[in-house]
Amino acid sequence: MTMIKEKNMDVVGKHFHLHFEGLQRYAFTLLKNNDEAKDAVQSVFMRLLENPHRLDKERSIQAYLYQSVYHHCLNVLRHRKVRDAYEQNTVFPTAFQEDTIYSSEVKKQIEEALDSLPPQCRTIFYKSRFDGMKYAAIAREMNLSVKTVEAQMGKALKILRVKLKSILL
Amino acid sequence: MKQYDDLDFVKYLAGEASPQEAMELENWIAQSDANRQAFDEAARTWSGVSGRKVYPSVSLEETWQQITDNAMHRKNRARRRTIGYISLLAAACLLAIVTVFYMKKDHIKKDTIGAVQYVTRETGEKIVRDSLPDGSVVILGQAATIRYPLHFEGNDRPVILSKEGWFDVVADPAKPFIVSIGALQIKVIGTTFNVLETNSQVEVSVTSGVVRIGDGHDSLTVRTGQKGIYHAVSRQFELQSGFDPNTIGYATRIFSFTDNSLQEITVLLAKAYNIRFVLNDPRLGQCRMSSSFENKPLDYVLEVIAATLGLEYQLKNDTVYLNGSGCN
Repeated sequence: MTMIKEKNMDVVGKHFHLHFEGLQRYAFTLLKNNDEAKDAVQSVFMRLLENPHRLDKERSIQAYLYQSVYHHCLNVLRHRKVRDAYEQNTVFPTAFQEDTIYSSEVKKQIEEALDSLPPQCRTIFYKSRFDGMKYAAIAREMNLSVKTVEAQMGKALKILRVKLKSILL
Repeated sequence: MKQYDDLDFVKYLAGEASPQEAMELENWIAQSDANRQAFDEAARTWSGVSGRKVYPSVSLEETWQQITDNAMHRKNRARRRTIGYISLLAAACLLAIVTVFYMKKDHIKKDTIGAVQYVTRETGEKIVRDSLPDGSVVILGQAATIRYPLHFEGNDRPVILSKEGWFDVVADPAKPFIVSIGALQIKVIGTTFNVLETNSQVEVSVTSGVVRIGDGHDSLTVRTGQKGIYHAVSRQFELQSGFDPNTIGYATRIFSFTDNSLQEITVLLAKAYNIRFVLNDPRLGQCRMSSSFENKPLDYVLEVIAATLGLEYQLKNDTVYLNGSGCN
């Protein structure tokens, strides 16, 4: 009995080491919060340890892990919405584990780069990056297709990446 | 395979990717260093435009350990259900008392993974001294955690640390002593050194001997009197030729004050001796003095400070009262 459990632990451990980094990053893109992202990935692996029959399924474990992280994050976001409805000062989650390290000179260059974006491109980028709006919501609000929003976001990142390449190391 | 560009990167970073898309992109990133660099550049731009740097939390081993720990605890909890109600209640009361007791001080717990028993120790506000299975000594800073096996049985002596700790490692060339902190590993034979983890970097200050720090990609040798810095964001190493010994005084009780304010001095001494200072006049904090102490008893240190600045001192229940009308 314990033999089997230890074997499961080894198998799950192997998947953990292979996929943790990617899953953690994916969870972070959805939640924009490091601790919550870590919790999401942890609880998915906990569940896998408790239900090892998943390991025998034909379907790829990796696909199962990404699916589970996605659904866990959606739940977190739903709870966040409910919680925020009860709290007065709703703040967009900037609790990324981030440090304000950049000098004012660098910040000025960042602002200049953002200002250099074409007007519609800039508006779309701001709504996504700083207001945390979904592509679909931006498309609805601006009466555009989601494909257009996607393309404009790609364009914005490309311009910013090239302009800021030498200073954001 | 699909060729990825900025449109895909930004879609992913903005949280718009489906599980399938995320998985495919992550597999592409893992495929080559060139792919990873292209994505990293996009990710740096995405986070950089907010004027901030992102610190990716990649403490793989620590996270895995937490998962197995939790799985273990759940199992134990399930077992406990079979114990009678009254003994359960008694156990709960005891647990509550013990928890309250340990919350104030530091916290020790033991668990077993496979055949190996582990000890995990968390500190609160107080500095804690601990001996490791091989007789090495660790002094843990505030809010630090250390985890190690009850016996060092393998080919090395592994410990996991977070936040801050000072180590005095017993020499054993056959069994390297390895401290893991986030993505960084610190490998030593026998030496004394301090580790400090902040949001964006890990600093390793060596007081004697030689240590080697590495993250699997690159590594750096740090010698006596030097400080090695690992920048977690850029995964870069930096070597500094010296460090301020006062920063590790909490562990060594070795201080060298040169025109420091009493305010700065009391903060350092409070940590090192687990005491509190009360000044009768806040202006006293601005008094400045120079002096050095090498692991002296608290009374001696207070005596010198009082004499130098013309103050009176009183030590009562871990609180030092300093009284004076101004500086000499």
